[in-house]
Amino acid sequence: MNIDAVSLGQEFTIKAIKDKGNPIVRKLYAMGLKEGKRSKLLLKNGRVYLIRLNNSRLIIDRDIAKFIEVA
Amino acid sequence: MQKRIIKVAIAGNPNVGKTTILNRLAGTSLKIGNWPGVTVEKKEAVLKFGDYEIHLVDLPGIYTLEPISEDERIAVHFLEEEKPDVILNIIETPNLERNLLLTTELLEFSTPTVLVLNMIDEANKLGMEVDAGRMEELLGVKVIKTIGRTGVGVKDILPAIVETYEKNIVPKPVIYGEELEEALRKVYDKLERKDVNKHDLIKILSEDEGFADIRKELEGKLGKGIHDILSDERYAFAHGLYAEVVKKKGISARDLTDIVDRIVLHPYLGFLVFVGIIYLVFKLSFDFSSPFVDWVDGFINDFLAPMAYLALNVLGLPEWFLRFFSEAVVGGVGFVLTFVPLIASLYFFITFFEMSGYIPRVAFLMDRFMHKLGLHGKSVIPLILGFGCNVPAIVATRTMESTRDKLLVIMMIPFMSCPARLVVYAFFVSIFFRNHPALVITFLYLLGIFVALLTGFLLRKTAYRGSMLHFVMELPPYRLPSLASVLTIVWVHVKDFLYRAGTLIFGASIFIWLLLNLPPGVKNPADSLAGSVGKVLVPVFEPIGIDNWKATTSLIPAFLAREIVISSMGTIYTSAEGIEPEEEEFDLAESFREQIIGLGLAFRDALGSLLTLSITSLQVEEEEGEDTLRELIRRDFSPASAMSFMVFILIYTSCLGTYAVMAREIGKLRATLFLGYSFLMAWTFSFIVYNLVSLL
Repeated sequence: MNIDAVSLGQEFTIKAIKDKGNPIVRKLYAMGLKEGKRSKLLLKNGRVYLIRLNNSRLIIDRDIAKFIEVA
Repeated sequence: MQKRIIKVAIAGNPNVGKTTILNRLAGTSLKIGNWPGVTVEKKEAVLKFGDYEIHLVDLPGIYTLEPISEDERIAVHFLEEEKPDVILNIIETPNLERNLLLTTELLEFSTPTVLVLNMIDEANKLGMEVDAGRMEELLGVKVIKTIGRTGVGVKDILPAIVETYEKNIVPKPVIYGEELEEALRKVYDKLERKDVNKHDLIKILSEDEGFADIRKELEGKLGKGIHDILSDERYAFAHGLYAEVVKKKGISARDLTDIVDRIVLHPYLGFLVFVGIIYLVFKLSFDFSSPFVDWVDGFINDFLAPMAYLALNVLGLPEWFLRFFSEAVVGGVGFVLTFVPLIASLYFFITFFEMSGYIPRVAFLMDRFMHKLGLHGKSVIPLILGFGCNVPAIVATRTMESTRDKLLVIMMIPFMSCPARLVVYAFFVSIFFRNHPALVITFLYLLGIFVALLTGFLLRKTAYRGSMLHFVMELPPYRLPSLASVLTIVWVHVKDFLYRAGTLIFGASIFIWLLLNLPPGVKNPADSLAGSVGKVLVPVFEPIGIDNWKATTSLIPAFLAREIVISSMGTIYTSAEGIEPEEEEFDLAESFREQIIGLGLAFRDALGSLLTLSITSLQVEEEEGEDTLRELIRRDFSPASAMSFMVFILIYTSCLGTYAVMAREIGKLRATLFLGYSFLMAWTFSFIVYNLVSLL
C-alpha cells in the first residue's frame, strides 16, 4: 500500500521506494526517507501529506507518495 | 605583511543555521529565517584572524551533491569548481543521521574539513548525546559543538579552521563496500590524470560513458542501478557513523510543534489563523507606529527644519537655496522619512514570523488552492516574502525546481504589496478614507493578490503550460526568535530605507525641483518643464481620474521607487502651492524639551494602542483650513481618484530594483514586456475602481 491508505497519526514503515533514478526521489532519499525507516503520518491537506521522520517533518505530495510503498 | 587567505565553504543541509553562524563569526547581518531556502545565493564575509584573512562563503543549503534547483547548483558548483581550502560543514544535530549523508559526500572531496554540530541544545532536549571525540577519532577532522542562536561554541570555529588549514587536516578516507571500491580503483587506473579525489571518481563512474563498462559490471555484480548503489553505500557509511557516535538516540516524542501544527495546519482552522495573523501584523504595525510617525513628522517640521532655516539664514545663503531646502529636502525627503516607524514596525512582525517557522507552513496550507493555478504550495513562500520586498522575493524563486514554476511565480510577485506601497496608501487613506482605513488597505492588499493570481492563471493557460514538478519540502520546528536577531534584521531594512531616502529619493527630489524651476526665471510652476511634462501625461491618466499635472508629474520619478511618488508630491505641492516655512520664534532648548516629551508620549500612545482590537491609528483629525500637504491633496483629488491612484501604484511595477532583478532572473525582454503588462493592468483596474467608487 502507499501513504494514501495510512490513517492520520498512524505509524508506518517505508517498505520500498520506486524510481530511484528520479532526481526528486533521490532528494527524498537524501532527506532521510529510506527503506526500513519508521515514519508517522501527521496531517493531510488535499494532495499533500505531512509526515514525521526521526526528528524532521517532511511535506510530500500525493504523486510522489505513490513511489513509496509502506507497511 | 600581507595576510594569507583561507577560502572557507560553509556547507550543510538547508535551515541548519549556516548563516546564523556566519553572522556570529563575521558580525554580518545577513538574512536569516526558519525555513529551508533562506540563502539562495552564495554570500561572502571576510574577516581577519591571526595571520590570516578568512573568506567565509555561505552556500545555499543542499541535501545532496546532486543539484535540482538553481540555488543547489550554486552550492555544488562552488564546492566542485572553486576548490575551497577548508569546508565548514554545519550539521543540525537533532537530525544528525540525515545530515551525515551530506557529510559523507563532502568527505569524499578529501578537502580539509571542520564539522560543526549545531543546535546541540535542541538535541539535548530530545535526549540525544553525541560523542564529538569519537567522531573526531573516526573521521580524522575537528568537531565542534555549537548553539548558533546564542553563540555557544562559535568562538572555537575560527581557531579550528586555521589549525585544520595549517596542519592540512584532511578527513580519513571514506571506505565503501568492496565491489564499489574495486570499481573506483579500475576507474582510477584507467584515468590519465591522477589528481582526482573520491568525489571525482564516483562522478566519472556514474556519469562518464567512457567508463560504462566498469559501471555495468558493478551494477551486474550488485544487481541494482548505480544511483541505488551509491545511495546505499553512503547511507551505510552515515548510519554506521551515527551508530558509533550517538550514545543516546533520544525520543522523537510529540512536541509543541506537533500540537501547534494541528491547529495552524488544519485545512479550515489554519485559514482562520492565517487571516488572523495577517490582520494582527497590520494592526500592530499601524497602531504601534502611528504615534511615532506623528512624532517624526513633528521632529522634522518643528525642530530640524526651523533649526536648519536658522542656520542657513545665519550663513546668509541665497533665497533660491532656502527655497530648495524647504521644497526638496523638507517637503520631499523629510515627508517620506516620517514613515520610517511604519516600515520598521511592519518589518519587525514580518521578520518575527519568518524566523518563527510559520512561513513554510503556509506552503502546506495553501497547496490545495495553488494547485488550481498549476503551482504547488512551495510557490507561496516567495509570494509571501513579496509583502516584505519584491526584490529578495524574486531571488527566492531560485529554490524552485522547475523553470516554468519559477517564471510563473516571478510574474506574480510584483503584485504583492510591499511596505513602500503601504507608505502611499497610508498617506492617501489618512486624507480620504479616515473612517475606514483598515477596509481600504485590506482591499488593496487583496486586489494585489487577486491580480497576481489572475496573472498566474493567464500565463498558465497561455505561455507556461505544462505539468508541475513534485512538491517535497522540510518543515522546521517552531522556534522563538530572539529579540536581538529580529531587531538586527529590522535595522538592515530601515538602514536600506534611510539609504534610499538619502540617495534615490533625495536625487529624485532634486530632479523634480530642478524641473519645477526650469526654464530659468519661470514664475508659475505650471509653466515649468515639470508642468509641461505632467500636462502631456494628463490625457493618459484622465480616464482613471488623475487629471492634474502635479499628480502625473509625481508618477515619473516614482518609477525608481514607489515611495518617491510621495516625496515628489511633497516637492511639487510645496513649490507650486507655496507652503511657507513657519516663521515663529525658535527656541532651541525649549523645542528640544518638547521633542523629548513628545517622544515619551509617543511611547505611551503606542503601547496603549496595542490594547485595542481594531485598527485605529489612521483615523487622524481633520486639518481643514490649513495649507498642509494633506489639505492641498484633498483639494486636487476626490475619494474616487485617490482610490484609483493607489490602485495604479499597487499594480504598476514602478520600482527600478524589481525591474533590475527581474531582468537578471528572467531576461531583459521578459522583464520589459512584464512592465508593459503591469502598466496595462494598472490602468485597467484603476479605470474600473475609479468608475465604481465614483458611483458610490
